[in-house]
Amino acid sequence: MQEELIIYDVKKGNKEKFGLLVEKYQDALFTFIFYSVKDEGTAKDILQETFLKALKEINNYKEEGKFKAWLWTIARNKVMDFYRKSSKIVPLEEETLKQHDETSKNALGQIELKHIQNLIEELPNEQKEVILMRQYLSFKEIAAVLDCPLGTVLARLNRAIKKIQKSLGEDYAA
Amino acid sequence: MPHNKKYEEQALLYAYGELDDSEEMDFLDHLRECKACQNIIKITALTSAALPEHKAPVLNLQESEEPSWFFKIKEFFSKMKLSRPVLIGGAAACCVAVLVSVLYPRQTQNEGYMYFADSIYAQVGNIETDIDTLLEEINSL
Repeated sequence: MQEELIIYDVKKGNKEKFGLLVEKYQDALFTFIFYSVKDEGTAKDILQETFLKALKEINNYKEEGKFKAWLWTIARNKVMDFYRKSSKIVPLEEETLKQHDETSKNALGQIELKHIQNLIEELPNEQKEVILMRQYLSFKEIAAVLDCPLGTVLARLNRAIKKIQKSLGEDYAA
Repeated sequence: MPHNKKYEEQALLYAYGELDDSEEMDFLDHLRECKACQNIIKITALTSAALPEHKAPVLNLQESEEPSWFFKIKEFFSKMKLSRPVLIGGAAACCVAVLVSVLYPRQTQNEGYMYFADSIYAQVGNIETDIDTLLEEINSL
């Protein structure tokens, strides 16, 4: 069944149909939230709150074909609320990334995915969220979620890739 | 063509399968020779591989569908978009109103109790006088 038809039914009061949307997006959304907050319990709570808010405010959703971006906007706001409440935003500077890289590169001698995951984790939030969102959203959708031009999204991703590249060292140097 | 910002963006778009067909041929020609763009594509692939999908836990979307009264009040006031001084003033006025409504009836109630006590004392006094007269009558007998 087409997504917009399901949304139409939910708007008309058939709330049970909302379960189809939950089923469709829950894993992707959970993954995005989980990597954003790094705690399974918190991620579950935020996911639940996201779907509840989406259900409650489904009548405010007007843009056809942009449901995924709309859902991600709610999730992102919930993640931001979480950070605001717990004051966990610690933007990391280049130096921190360098230090981290030196130690892990020496210890491993080769690139491991865990190491990449740590590097993503340590990126400034605006760059990290673009990488996380790009796993499930197109660049246009990310621009809609972040309410910024497509060029800004690409620039943020480019900066993030360059930082990771720098941390990975000579093998990946330009 | 040497590596430049345009190719960097195209490398990102290509890595995620979003590069326009019209630009793809030109970019692929560049990519063959450009190590920087090859590395961008390698790193985007690594970042995707480093972020595997997690299965969402079972959700209970029923449990908090009915918001608490506190949440309803908070929601009501947040919809009114009142400024902080107005909210504080309103809250203070409410507190004063509650205090007055609680304390004033209590005061009048206390006054009522005192009238009641006085009347009892008066009646007791009358009874005492009656007993005294009775005792006097008994003594005179």
